[in-house]
Amino acid sequence: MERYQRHIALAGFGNKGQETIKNTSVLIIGAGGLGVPVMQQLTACGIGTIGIMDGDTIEISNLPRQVLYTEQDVGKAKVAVAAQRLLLMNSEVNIIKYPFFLNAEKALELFKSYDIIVDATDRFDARYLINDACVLFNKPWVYGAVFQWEGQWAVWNFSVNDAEKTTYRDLFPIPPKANLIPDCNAQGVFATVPQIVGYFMANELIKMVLYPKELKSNSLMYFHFLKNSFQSLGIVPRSETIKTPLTAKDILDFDYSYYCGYKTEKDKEGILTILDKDTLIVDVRNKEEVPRLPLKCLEIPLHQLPDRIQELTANKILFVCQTGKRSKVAYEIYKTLLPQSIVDYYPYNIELFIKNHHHA
Amino acid sequence: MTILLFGILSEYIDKDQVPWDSFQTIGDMEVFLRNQFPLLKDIPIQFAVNHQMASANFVVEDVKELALMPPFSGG
Repeated sequence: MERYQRHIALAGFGNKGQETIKNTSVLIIGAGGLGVPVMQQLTACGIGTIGIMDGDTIEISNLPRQVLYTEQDVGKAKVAVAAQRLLLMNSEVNIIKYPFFLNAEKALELFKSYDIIVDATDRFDARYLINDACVLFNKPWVYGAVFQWEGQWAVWNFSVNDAEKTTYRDLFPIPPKANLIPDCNAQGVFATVPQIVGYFMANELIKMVLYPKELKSNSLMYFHFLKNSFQSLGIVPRSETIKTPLTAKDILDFDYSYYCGYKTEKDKEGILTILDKDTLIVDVRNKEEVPRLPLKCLEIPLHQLPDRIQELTANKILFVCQTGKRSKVAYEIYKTLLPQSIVDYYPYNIELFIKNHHHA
Repeated sequence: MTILLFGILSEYIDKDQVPWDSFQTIGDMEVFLRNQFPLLKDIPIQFAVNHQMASANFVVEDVKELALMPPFSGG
């Protein structure tokens, strides 16, 4: 126990506290910007069993935020590299690898054997699945999310003294539709933000195990890392009931991906029918995003569109953006506001658009 | 009253175009915002009054601080 001497010296912690941590098992879903700091901290402080789930491989653009990985790891599976590094850090911890993405079957199979679930994902379908499965198995879960310079975190489905529990569905009963919320790929995030939010998540998790009465459950914590402003929002159970998957069968039958708008009904070939020399291409990206389009287009960042809608006078209008998300937002809003035009959006990334349509 | 717009809402809502004190309920405020700022379409907004979640029928009075929170995605 020499390793944990500083923990044990803490008043009210002692050998018993360290033993309690050792007997705790945590499943971390997502080995990226949030997952890495969570798993580093939980490993270092001696959580007994840590499951890590992620189907992704390491990319060079991960390195600023995901500081467990090195240049030599690019292209390798995140889970394999993470497990190897974490065991070098603390060989006493039992690391279990799940080198795949979460789905309903895996959630139903694996959640029940862990004490605590950590949502370190960047997708709403995973988040709502984690929420519903944790409610089903009565598991507390720790959550974090970031946006540019802002971060939020919370512990859901947990309370002391049988107070009423709240879940992510009390905060947002239904997900935003059709990728309306840009993720880090589209909007950017500074490296320290998920790192610090991840440490807050690990801190809340340890408090839940050892000092549950200190934990501010039923609260959403928020920090703005440019302004250094902190907020804590009290969450109350919603009185209105919405239909959610409650049983294992409900969860298996529920299409979370469609529910959260990741699957689209859009015909992939539809794009070619609108794009010709008369089409007005509207690039809704911000000015600093590259590559710029090497063809004639109108550059209007999405947030300026409402004020510049009168500029969209062509018979055919095609919205494009960096990844296909903001162009879809523009399309969803303006297809009805521009009744005189045929409106569409390019659903893929800008590089592909340039590659396939530079002659347009 | 102090108005705090979190995440993407600080890009989509122009604080100065909203008569924040003129609404009876949070629900009335939300209807106005969605009409005024079409980019909000289908983005869920959680309102918080004085650090506590407030639902649509919440009557807007004695509000020192109003916070509007959208879902955050990235991780």
